Amino acid sequence: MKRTLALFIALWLALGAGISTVIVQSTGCAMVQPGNSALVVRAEQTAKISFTLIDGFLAYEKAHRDELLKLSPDIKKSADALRVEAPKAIEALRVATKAYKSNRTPANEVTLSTWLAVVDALSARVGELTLKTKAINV
Amino acid sequence: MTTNAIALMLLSLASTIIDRALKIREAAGQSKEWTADEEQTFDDQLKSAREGTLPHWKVEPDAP
Repeated sequence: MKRTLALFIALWLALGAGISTVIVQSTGCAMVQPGNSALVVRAEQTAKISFTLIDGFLAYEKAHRDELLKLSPDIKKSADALRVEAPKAIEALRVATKAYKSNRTPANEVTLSTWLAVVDALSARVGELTLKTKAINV
Repeated sequence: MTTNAIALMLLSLASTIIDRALKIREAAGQSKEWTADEEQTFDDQLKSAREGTLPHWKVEPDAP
């Protein structure tokens, strides 16, 4: 039963991470509308995709908490860490995006790129949770 | 856990996967900057998460 549950979670997380990676990579070279900034478009896509991925993981964790706690208490701890850190990081990315949109200076570009990397890392953490969940049940 | 419970979990998971995939596809399909309305919609959603209004974003104490 634990293996089945772990498989479900791994499937969900892997699919989510896989879809986002493929989409982000495939749209990386997409034509951006004239007058729009590729960096801003990427920042806004990253904010939405990361939020959607994390939101899905947190909803699933809450809905199946009892079963997941039997697998490992670390899953709830990791989910709680995301609950605290993700809104702050995505909010900071939004602030940096708005600042760059209104004033496209090199300094604002650096700040935006920095928060973009932080939020990308949060999405990657969801992928790491997949590996952790699988490792517990090997 | 009964077979029915497992089947329900599987259905729930499949539904979540499809829902998320569609939302992600929608988000990535846009190659333009957000409009003011789109910004406001997302920022409102983020605010709900930050303030714990969305139930699954609220940190709950561990069960004893």
